[in-house]
Amino acid sequence: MNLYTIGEEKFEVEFKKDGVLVNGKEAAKSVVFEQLPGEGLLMKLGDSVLPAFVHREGDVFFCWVAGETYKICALDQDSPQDSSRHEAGEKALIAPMPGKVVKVLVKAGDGVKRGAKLMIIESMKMETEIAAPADGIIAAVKYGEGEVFKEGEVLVEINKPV
Amino acid sequence: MGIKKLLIANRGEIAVRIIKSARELGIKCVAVHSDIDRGARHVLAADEARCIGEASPLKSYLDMAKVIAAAQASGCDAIHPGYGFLSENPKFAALVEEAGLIFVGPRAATIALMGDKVASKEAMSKAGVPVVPFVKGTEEFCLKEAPKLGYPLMIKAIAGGGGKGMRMVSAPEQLKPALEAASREALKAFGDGRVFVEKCIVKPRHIEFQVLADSHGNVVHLFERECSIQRRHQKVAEEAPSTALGARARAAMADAAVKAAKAAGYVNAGTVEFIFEEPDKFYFLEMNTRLQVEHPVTEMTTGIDLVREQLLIAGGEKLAFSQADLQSRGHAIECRVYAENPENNFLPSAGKVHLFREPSGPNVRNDSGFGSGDEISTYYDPLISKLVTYGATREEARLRMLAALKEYVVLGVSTNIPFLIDVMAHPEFAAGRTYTDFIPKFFEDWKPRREKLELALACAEYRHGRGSPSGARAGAAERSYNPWAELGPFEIGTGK
Repeated sequence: MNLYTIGEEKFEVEFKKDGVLVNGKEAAKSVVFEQLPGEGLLMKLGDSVLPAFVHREGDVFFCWVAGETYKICALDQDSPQDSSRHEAGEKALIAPMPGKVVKVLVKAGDGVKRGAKLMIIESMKMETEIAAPADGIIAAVKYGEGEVFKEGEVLVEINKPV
Repeated sequence: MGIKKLLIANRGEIAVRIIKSARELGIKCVAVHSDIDRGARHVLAADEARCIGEASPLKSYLDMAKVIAAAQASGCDAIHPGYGFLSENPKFAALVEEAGLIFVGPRAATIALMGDKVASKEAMSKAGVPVVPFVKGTEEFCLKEAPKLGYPLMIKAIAGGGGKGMRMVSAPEQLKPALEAASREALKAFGDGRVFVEKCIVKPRHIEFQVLADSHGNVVHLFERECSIQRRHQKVAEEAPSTALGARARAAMADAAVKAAKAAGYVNAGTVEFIFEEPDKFYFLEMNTRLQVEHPVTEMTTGIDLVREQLLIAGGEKLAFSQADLQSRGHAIECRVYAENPENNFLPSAGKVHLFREPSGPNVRNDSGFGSGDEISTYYDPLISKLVTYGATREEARLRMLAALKEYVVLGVSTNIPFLIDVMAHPEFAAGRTYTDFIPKFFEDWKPRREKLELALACAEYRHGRGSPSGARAGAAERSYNPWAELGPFEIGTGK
């Protein structure tokens, strides 16, 4: 059984002998997979075969199934590096898109209120403000002004006040 | 005289597209690129390439001196600007000619006239082409005169474009604050706060006519394209012919388009944009003095290669056909496929394209500038490709588009493909009721359908269990028992 996220939503996926369970509910009966060379994947559901394409990039799975595309992130349940750590008292602000830091408005150790502006980022000529999701203390600012980041990278870490 | 060697001052799908037609004419092609684009598709498609600077467009694709120097250094006799970048910059067109090179486009003076929203309208109005009634002048003058046009009104920036400095005003008390806000926005965006006020056309359609004019005074039109499906003033899907035009309206608009081109002393390919109000009212909006993004729909319905004609005209040749030789047959639809995230307010989605499988088949054309392994950069327009389908009827083209979109695979960046599928499948679009408010009206709260979500998760879990080639995941996979990982490949259909 493994945990995944699509956007903000969490899913628990488990393969049983007689089917696939998603969040404990049966999603499909007897699926048989065959990996083709490259990204191609065949999914046998009963008597019909459905083609799919899956590309894995670290913990991220890009899946295309019958005209729909999903970006699925695996949550590593054993590693202390996973995002559940953030729920235990620390929150990480993740870059919503790749871009560049225009301005950093806080530094490590600063106390911030919910909604406070932490950083201004720019992507494709548009400026976006990164605001604090909750009250807390800045644990780390990962990027300086003028620095370029990729989508999904942590920009700022905030600790909950003790 | 004819062009022998052409520099393409652009990148992405349009640069690739231009190279294809130039090749057919026996013209050698030189690509220019920024340092991050050194392995880009347009570079690979050209005969030779030159790096002209850093990733930021201002330091490469928009640097006029560098582009012209690259053309001279590589022995080119002409420059094709594509669309965007330097294509509608009169200064660039003038500099190219001063350097003794051919600019594939109209004369600098024509570009300058059409780039001025108000001057172009005045010129068109004088030539007998209907324009949307408007007033311009001081804020005081606008406050006094604009209400006489009748509400609703639209405020636009004189130097503007792309929706910036634009405001709709539906009641008298909104006029003053809207004028001030539009002027502030225009000053910030264009360094020019002047605005004008025009009558707002209710329930408009955006219909444009393609024209071709040679340097011998011959002007023809290649019928219309309808571009009413827009998101925040950006075109999303285009088609030809328009579902709104009857024979009489089409003839009247075509006549006005040719008149507009002649009045402007136009040479090369151009597009006359109109606002159309049913059943038969139309007004000149602006003239685009370049190849349009959506030119392929005209190529599909008329059989004329517009880039080829541009290059022949620029080389001094006469048009090889007259108006009577031109016909529009069947129907073509174009969808603009963007690297953007429709689930996150259509924000651009840059990154690496891990897998790119284009749709294909009879009457399916995909003009793209990317492939598997290419990086989509935050520095440039996020257009991945233009998918065009053709059919004997609109419905045939629409269903072909739906099928093509559903077979299009792009893994690595988000795309608007699911959004385009739902636009094409919408009953109002299917019925041809395409007005410029289509997307705000029917797609305000749009969310992608997720019918295959569970199967996609199952695919991810299967791949997860197989581990990554580097073995980084092997430990985790061993700890959680996964019978499917042990089964290995299956023979399908043999019962084994």
